[in-house]
Amino acid sequence: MSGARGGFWRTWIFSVDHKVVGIQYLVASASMLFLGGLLAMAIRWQLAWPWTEMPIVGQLVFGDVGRVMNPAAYTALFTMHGTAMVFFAILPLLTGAFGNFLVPLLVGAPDMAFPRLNAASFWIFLAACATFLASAFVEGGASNSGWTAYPPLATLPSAAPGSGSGQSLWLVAIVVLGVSSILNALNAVVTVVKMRAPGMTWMRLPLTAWGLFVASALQLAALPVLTAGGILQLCDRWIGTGFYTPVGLIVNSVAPDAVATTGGSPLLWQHLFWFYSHPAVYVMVLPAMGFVSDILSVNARKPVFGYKPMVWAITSIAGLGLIVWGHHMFTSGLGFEMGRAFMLSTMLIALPSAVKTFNWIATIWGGRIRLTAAMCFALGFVALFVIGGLSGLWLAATPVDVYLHDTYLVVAHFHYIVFGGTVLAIFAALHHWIPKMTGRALSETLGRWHFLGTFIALNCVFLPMHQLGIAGMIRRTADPSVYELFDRLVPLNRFVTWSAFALFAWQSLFVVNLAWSLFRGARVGRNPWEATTLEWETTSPPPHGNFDSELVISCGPYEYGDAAGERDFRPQTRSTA
Amino acid sequence: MLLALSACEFEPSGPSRTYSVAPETRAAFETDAAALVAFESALLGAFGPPEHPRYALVGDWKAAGIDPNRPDLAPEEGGSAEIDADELARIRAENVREFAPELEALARGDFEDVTVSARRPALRRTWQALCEEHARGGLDAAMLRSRGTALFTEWYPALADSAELYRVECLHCHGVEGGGDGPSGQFLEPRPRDFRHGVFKYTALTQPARPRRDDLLRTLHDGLNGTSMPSFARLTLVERHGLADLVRLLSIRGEVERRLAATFADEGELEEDAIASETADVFGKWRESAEKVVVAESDAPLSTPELVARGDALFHDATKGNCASCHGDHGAGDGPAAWKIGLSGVKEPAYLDAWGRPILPRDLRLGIYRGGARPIDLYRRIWSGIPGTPMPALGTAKKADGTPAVPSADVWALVHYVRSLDSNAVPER
Amino acid sequence: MRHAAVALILLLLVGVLAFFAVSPEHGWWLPPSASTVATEIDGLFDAIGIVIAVGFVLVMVLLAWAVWHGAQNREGRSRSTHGHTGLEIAWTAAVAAVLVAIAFGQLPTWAALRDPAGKPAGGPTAVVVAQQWSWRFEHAGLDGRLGTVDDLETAFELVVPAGEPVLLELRSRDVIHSFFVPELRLKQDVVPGRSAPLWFTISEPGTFELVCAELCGFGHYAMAGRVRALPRAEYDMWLAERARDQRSRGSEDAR
Repeated sequence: MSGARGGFWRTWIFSVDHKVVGIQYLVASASMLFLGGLLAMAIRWQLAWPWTEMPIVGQLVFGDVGRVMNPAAYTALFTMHGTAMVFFAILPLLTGAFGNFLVPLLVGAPDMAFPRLNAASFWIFLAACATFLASAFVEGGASNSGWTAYPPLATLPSAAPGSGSGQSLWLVAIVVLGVSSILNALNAVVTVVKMRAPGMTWMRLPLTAWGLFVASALQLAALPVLTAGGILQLCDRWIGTGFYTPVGLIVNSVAPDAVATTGGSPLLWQHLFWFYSHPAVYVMVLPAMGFVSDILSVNARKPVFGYKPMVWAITSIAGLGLIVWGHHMFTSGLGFEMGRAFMLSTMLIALPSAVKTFNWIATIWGGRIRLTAAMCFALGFVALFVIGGLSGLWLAATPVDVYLHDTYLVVAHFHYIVFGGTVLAIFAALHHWIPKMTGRALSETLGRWHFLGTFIALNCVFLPMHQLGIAGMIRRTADPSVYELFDRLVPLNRFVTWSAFALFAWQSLFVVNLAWSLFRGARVGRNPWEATTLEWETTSPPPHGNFDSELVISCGPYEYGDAAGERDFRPQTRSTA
Repeated sequence: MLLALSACEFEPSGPSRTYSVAPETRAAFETDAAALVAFESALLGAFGPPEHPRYALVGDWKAAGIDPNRPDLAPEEGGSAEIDADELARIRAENVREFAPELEALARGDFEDVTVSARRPALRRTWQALCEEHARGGLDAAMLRSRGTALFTEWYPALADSAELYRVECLHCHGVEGGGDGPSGQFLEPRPRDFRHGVFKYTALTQPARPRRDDLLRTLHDGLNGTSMPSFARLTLVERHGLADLVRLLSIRGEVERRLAATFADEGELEEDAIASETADVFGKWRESAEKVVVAESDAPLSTPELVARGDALFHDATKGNCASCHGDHGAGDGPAAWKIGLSGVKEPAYLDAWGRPILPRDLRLGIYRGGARPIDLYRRIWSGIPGTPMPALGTAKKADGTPAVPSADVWALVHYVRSLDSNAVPER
Repeated sequence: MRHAAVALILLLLVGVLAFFAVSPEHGWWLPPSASTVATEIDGLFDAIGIVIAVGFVLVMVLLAWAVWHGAQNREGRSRSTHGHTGLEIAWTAAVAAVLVAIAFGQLPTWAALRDPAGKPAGGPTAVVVAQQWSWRFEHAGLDGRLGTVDDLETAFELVVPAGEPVLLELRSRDVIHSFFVPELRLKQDVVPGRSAPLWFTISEPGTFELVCAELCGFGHYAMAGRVRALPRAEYDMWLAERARDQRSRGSEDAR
């Protein structure tokens, strides 16, 4: 990063350069991803061999309580896993890391609209991480009401051990994270709206920019609702309001009058929570879809098929995404008519995703495909996102959802989309853009091997979860063997666990690749992939201020192929350098 | 490769665990660390470690050649004959259902298909021993089949099997020693039972008495309504019997430890056979319980307005039931005797239970009866009181002339009045 | 390289299909169903399953084909096709039609499950009280009415008549639970502060496991129960036996 003022601290730690902020987000959220993965390993151990002693961890974590998981610890485990992954790993990887790094570059801006606010949003994010991690060490332990934190389990300290300060800290972390994300989203939206380079019309924006932009807009629209809901829950816990607590409860022998209740409703939380958390899953997938569109196009040397329909698909996913939240509540007692309404909107939202899938296939159809590591991951996204989306059809059909709700089919569905989809897209994006970030190449060979093992292990882990759910195995169970119905599922659970260990271990290939690249990777020029979008017009890494020449955008982002001109691609800007 | 890994029988073990002595015991032996060590190892010798509990010394039974570790067997076979024939027949029938896959495999002669879960370590070892004998040529196939069939059909859990079941199902609340101090139990209200006092609240007996097998079985089957003690009816009948055996052992072990710690604190030493004699004494009390069942003089009458009115009068009469003094005028558990003004001037519960925790009278309007909701169950709560709590035994209270203060008919009236207080308090939307 | 890529896609295709094909015989599938609405739900499940399978095969084949033809280091450049309106309309319409068909196809079953007009007349057969971490049931007793003195309380096991409509009222004492009976394909969240009706008809007598399907604390995994369906005559006998038990003076315990 040449050109920045100030010494080490100003340049690398408290920098307001969006690229540094992006990399800071990358490191922080990747660490949380690793933590979430570790927690998942513990979950998988328990599900395969319940109540046995885990090597190393058993002694370390449970040493003074018999060296074995106990049920309360298990509930905290999956709560922390889900929360870490959704809020502290995936969302910030997309909007924080890639969003911050790429958005100004893609639109041709020298930085984000509000650079200092941008840096602030990172440090607030870090504070949220710290609060979240701290919640594991307070008395009573971490929150153990699931990442969904449904009251009254979450709001009444008498209902669960971790419902004491653990839950409060969890809520504080979520609220603080909300502030950080809203600031970040604001920055991205304003940058795209106001700071596009001359000639960069809306319909010339790369789909990565569209994905990040719409995802950020969705965050702005929906996140305040969760933040408000979280604040209401904190009020319930700290000042005895009863927003979510109905009258007449007897929790853990505490008689009704002892609980300060004013006739609130647990369903209110569910509405507020899912009003954000459903669009959140689209925030987790739209940028990924954007990455995939760009990477497929670059590596097939062919324009994205159906640019306008793709943009319409992105915006309609976001729009529809705001009106489907009730499908998480089909069994909550929503009522007959509401169930029908949400079923309809949920069915509809499958349509734009299907359209995008066909457009991706059409993009590479007849192309000149380079099977780089990035391309492998992008293709993997398409395949596995489709599986995840298809299982969603079962869940969208309300009578079938009545059976499948809260079973492992839901777990299979969202892991295929988030892991098979978004995480693969993130790996694709890392392979594609790390050379731009660091100026050094990653190893293609190692990258492809990483892809192969990840792809196979991923399917081994999450495919059997469909069967587990179809057989009725519920989520969040510490020991499926309690029920005779689940006796036959033991071999599946064990297979999934072995595969999960393999999947986790295999990720070390990427870490090795990255480390090797940072120290020994071949230096790359401005445009190693021969891509058209603006970030490839500048140096790798880009300087402070991003572009060293004037930008005049003269065409769309996907001019590849025989109509491109002298070479098989035409950069978006005719740079004067 | 992954498939091969999952197919292989990788079975990590449950952890080993050790008994710790109670804080009171530790305090009693404060001055003599060596004596504490000796005491702990003597207890270990008498009751076994947590994974292999058993009675080593129970006085006259040992002399008579009867083994209290086998309550299912008749004395001629060396057992303690604590389970009657009908119950044994029910157990057999359930075993046949529970072990149907294993019995079918045995009938077919597919001995490798017979697997015993690691949750039943003693049964597993016995079956493996039979298989090994067969492999060595000591047993032919027909004998293996018949011995195996008998093994599963007549299975009664060894204490080691029950200890493993206890570890998985009970330990996280009730603790290794049954002290109610497991990791999950510590925030619960009410706390899980500390078995080591030998006091169990909900039995069918006049007090003081240790619970009968059936009392423990009832608690295991139904759970305790209104507490975190769930129903374990999903376990088989014989597994519940095994858990009842283990709870008894933990209770006796705990009680022996407490009593001898108190003796040591008083006298500074323990006799050679202190543990043996104390165990025999406590065990004897457990065996007496069968004679102490509370049986009402008449069947439960149907509820009538007159009966309820009579119960109402008795409830509020300070010379009769005197219930309102604790349970309050409306049964809300807020009677004047239940509360006191503490040192800091704040209202706090007036009583502690036998385990040292503050206790309040039950809110009878909730209709939640921990010891069972049948009229006879409520009758027994009133007649015998609730041991470990200030709830008195009205049935055994006598007037100056020796007649019962609250005769049986009056107890029924109280029962029906209490039931009428149930406001079905969970509100409709 | 392209051989490997296409092989991987085909491996996924074949692997997924094969795994799903063998799952039912291993018991990794829907448990046998036992309620009248279950047949409809299973039918819907199968129908959507077919749509899913067709969609999956189609996409995988297209993907494999595209990679096979594209990844062969061909000379020259691709056609700079930016799109094709006709194709967009075609696949949008096709997918939309399928989605609309599924949406409308399931409405009758949803109505059977939840339309208040279908609620059986008369009072509930039993109240289900969920608490951390047990299921308790108050059966209406011989008089068929709840809230009367002959109500029977049981723990763990709910007994209902088979072959006739049953209405349950679900209540929670403390936190949210969920009443899930996989073999009857029934699930209803039990939310404290409100009581939720649930109605169904069990086709054949039998016993079915009851599972709590909403995280309710650390005992959630063990919050098991049982639904036992008896023919009407036996059900009446069971009620009568329990009614007699209510009159007990306790002598059966003094064996």
